[in-house]
Amino acid sequence: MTTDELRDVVLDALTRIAPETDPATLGPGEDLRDELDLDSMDELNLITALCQRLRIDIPEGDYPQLRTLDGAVAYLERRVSAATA
Amino acid sequence: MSGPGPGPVVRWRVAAVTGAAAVAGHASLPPDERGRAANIPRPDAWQRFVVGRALLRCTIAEHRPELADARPVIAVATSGRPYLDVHTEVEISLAHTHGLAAAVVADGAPVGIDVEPLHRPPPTPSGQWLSDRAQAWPDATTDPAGLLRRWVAKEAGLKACDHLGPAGLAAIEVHGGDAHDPPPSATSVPTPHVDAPAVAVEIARGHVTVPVDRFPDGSGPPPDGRVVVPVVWYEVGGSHLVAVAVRVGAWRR
Repeated sequence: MTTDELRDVVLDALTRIAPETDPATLGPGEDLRDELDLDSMDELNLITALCQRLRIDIPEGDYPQLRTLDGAVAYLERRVSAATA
Repeated sequence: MSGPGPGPVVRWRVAAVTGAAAVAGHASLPPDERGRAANIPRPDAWQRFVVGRALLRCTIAEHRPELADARPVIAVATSGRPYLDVHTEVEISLAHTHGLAAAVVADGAPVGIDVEPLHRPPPTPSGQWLSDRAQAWPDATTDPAGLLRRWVAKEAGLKACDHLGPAGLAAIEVHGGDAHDPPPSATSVPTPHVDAPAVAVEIARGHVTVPVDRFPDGSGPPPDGRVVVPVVWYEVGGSHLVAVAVRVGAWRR
């Protein structure tokens, strides 16, 4: 998967959890929890959706790496690459 | 695990998160908390913070009237857990969700509270938060009310422990709160004395077992690697679900 495709996967999951998400205004380095007012359940639903969509496992200790859009895409690139290597 | 007997006294309260409540609450906050509120850009998040802090202060004052005038500083640990920086024997916890804030206070027993709207869909059942055993539960995918009770119990129990072992949220087991997974015998887990708000109806009691590899004070771990935390579930005003968890035992934060 390309970086752009992974970004789309993350944005698709975000818009399902927070329908008011506007990808055009979402800051790539902003904390998604603050930007989209996500709580712990929203965060878990995001992680679960990404795990199911990409067929990867995301350990709980890695959650902080997915708290920005750019961070999430970079993390998922590594995980998907490792899973397909 | 201690046997039956008088448990700690726990007091919890709720407040609707509204614009009017936020304006009133803001006036009751000390300068340092007003400063923190001023740095919150989202209006809805600002309201939740202000109403939550004001509610917590009201609950502390009701529980310990001698502290009302002292306006103790509510500090926040790196884990996000609030605590009183001076009167550390007073344990506190705070939660808020869409439309409601909930605060709990106890003497000498770490506490945790969580609140969710009753109609909110629970998290997707998955290994991210449910053990294999819990996922094998016959109604794991068809009983949203039971799943939501598990969720709030785990969140409240986690707050009461302020630490979680590497096994993560999925390794917290919930006992009680639904007909499928009955609580243990009444002789095995201490029962806290809970002073709930008038709008709350107790719906179940049980406990969570939280896996810990160490305690926040550096001691431990417990012999079996798990901490047992009693939990009480409530419905509030027919619209919200609340779980109150009370960590009973010698270990302190």
